[in-house]
Amino acid sequence: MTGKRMLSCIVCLTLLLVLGGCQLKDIDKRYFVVSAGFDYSNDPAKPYRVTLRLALPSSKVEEGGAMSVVQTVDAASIAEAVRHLKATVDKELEFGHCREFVLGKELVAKDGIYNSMQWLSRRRDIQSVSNMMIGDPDALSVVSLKPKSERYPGNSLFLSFGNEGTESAHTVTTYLFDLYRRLYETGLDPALPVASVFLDAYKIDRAALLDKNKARLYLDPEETLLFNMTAFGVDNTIIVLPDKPLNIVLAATRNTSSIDLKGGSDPVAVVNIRIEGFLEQSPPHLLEEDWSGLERKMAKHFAEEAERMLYKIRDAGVDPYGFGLHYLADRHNAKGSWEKWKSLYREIRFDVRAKVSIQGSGLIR
Amino acid sequence: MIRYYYYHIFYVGMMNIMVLVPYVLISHRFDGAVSSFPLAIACGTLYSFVTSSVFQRFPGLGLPEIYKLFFPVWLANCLNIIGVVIWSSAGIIVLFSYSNTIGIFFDPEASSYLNLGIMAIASLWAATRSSRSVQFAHEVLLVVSSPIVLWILSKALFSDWLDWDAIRLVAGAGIRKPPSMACFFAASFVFSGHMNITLFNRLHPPDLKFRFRWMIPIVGTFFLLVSFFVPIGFHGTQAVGNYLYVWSVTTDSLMMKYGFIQRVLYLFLLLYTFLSLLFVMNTWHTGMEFLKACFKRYKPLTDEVNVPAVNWWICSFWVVVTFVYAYYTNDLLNRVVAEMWLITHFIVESILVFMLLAFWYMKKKGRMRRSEASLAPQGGGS
Repeated sequence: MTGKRMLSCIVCLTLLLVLGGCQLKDIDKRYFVVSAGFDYSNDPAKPYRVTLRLALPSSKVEEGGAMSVVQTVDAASIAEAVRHLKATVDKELEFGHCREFVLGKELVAKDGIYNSMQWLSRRRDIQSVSNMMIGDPDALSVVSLKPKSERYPGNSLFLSFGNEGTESAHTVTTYLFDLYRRLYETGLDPALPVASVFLDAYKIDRAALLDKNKARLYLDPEETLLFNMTAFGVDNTIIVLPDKPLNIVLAATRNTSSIDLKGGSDPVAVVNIRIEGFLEQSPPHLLEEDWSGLERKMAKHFAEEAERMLYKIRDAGVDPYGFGLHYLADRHNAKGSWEKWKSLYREIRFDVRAKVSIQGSGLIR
Repeated sequence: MIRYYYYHIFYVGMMNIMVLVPYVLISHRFDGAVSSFPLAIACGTLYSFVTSSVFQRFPGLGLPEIYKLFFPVWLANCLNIIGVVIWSSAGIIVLFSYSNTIGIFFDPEASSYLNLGIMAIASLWAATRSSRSVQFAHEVLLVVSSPIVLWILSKALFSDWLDWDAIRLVAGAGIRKPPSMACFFAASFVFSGHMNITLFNRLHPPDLKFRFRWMIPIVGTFFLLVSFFVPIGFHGTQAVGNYLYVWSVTTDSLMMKYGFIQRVLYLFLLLYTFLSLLFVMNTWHTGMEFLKACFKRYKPLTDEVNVPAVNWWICSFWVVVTFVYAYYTNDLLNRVVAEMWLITHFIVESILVFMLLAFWYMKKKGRMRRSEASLAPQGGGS
């Protein structure tokens, strides 16, 4: 090829690159949705109330400088509501940065999560690692809160989950793909964190346990802590041993848990948990007197509390730990084993095998 | 030089995701996918050993030249044409699935023909190069992309969200079912990297020894198990069946918390852009060389500096076919076509392996029509 022909070829090819811009909207023609809430509106014709929090991009990034607007609309389905919402804003809605989806408590009670999940799992721009939660009393109040501590719109809520910002042991983290898996899986049921507004912040210290569609049981904060430790093995938690005049508190830094089924035809559900940590609050010289005795006492107390919670979960008829899936995996999904498990689970006994190891007294002086 | 042979083994192992192999396997996860794995591993390994051993006996000859050694011209040409169809259609299917995936996850607003067009032009240019250039491009792209692919795979394997109970359930239940044919065909694709030797044997020096062949079953088994079980671990035994682009959704379930972009999906799609380009380049180039071998005046060259115009014509024809295919097909149809291709591919591969064994025997007996030296490819470089 001669130089001239080569050059013209290159020019033609470069022009092709420009074509990519033809069907693309610029960033300043887009509204970034930062959190979305779905509520039940009590209107049978338009049961879904969709609330979107839209970020206003700003050049400054500073605490309290986050600007956003909240839009809400009622419609017969979530998809229609989102389409309808587009008529009320001047820019294209973009869900690619939306990582918080709040389902109203009433929606979960009346309509269930199944219909909402259908929309969420089909949208290609919605991340599979979005955080899912239940809004108490409704999603609107959670979505429309604008905390002062936000550096950019919506970051306060997603920093609450996982271990990105705060590492709260009361906060159950459920991703969209995990919820979708639990929605369909035999022998593994969904669990969702419950978020509510408290002063100028979010309070996410409870968990809701669902059957395949609706909420069956709301755990209180203490149970949520136990549930989070035993089911998800979150680190950085505490365990408390009641004592006079002051409770003994262990700050756990490492925590591993696993489930198992022991025994043949009449199995016992076993939860193994290993907790490592140091004492954060205790009477002086307690540890030196009886180190291993204290470890055993804490483990026994923890196991009793956890077993009480497990029986409560069992009696609600849900299985967020996946004991059923474990049973089926042990039985190689043989015919009839699922029916057998369903009758077994109603009467199953739990055995929490906790092992606490105290690394130190926590004293620095 | 032997590394070029293993590059093919390695990248076909990674490419299985784009030819919808995981989709086929996962849709049969409760009836015979798992039990077909041992068969596929045994069969794929055996075929790799046979082809490499036979081609070692014909140093520097591609498959078209070997056909000419033993067959009359008309029969050799017929067999070449079968090769052309199998190879080039693989490239077309991959190009379509790739541009569809990109259209869904990367740039939903742009026309899917735009993605297809850009990729097709890149593939067209890459495939028309000389065999040697193709081999070098292959090395560069693979060396760039495979560490990151392996990183993503290991990130998925060691994730806390991977549910080993679901994997155990599918493995335990599946191994007890009789193997399914469709899954056997699909799973053996993972091992079919050795087929690229049919053309690239032209570049192999006469004294080449195929060492490290024990790696083939290990590499293939690893990619087969990972591409089947990791999506099940992430999406559960039931929900995993609801996804078509199951690996794109699986990588989207991973997070790079401190990465420049947190969605692993985008990194994954970028890597599969490389791998798809690699695959289309290899298949179209092989198809092109097989087609050229049907002409009487054709002399096999491996290192041309200026590629002949006929290269452009042949590959442009495949670009046109790709667009026609993209116009008339959709996701659903493409799934069926991909499954059919996997089946045909395996059958053709099996016939070829038996033919190769026959060639080996005939060479020992000295029943050759022509001399090997007269057919050996020339460099062609100036």
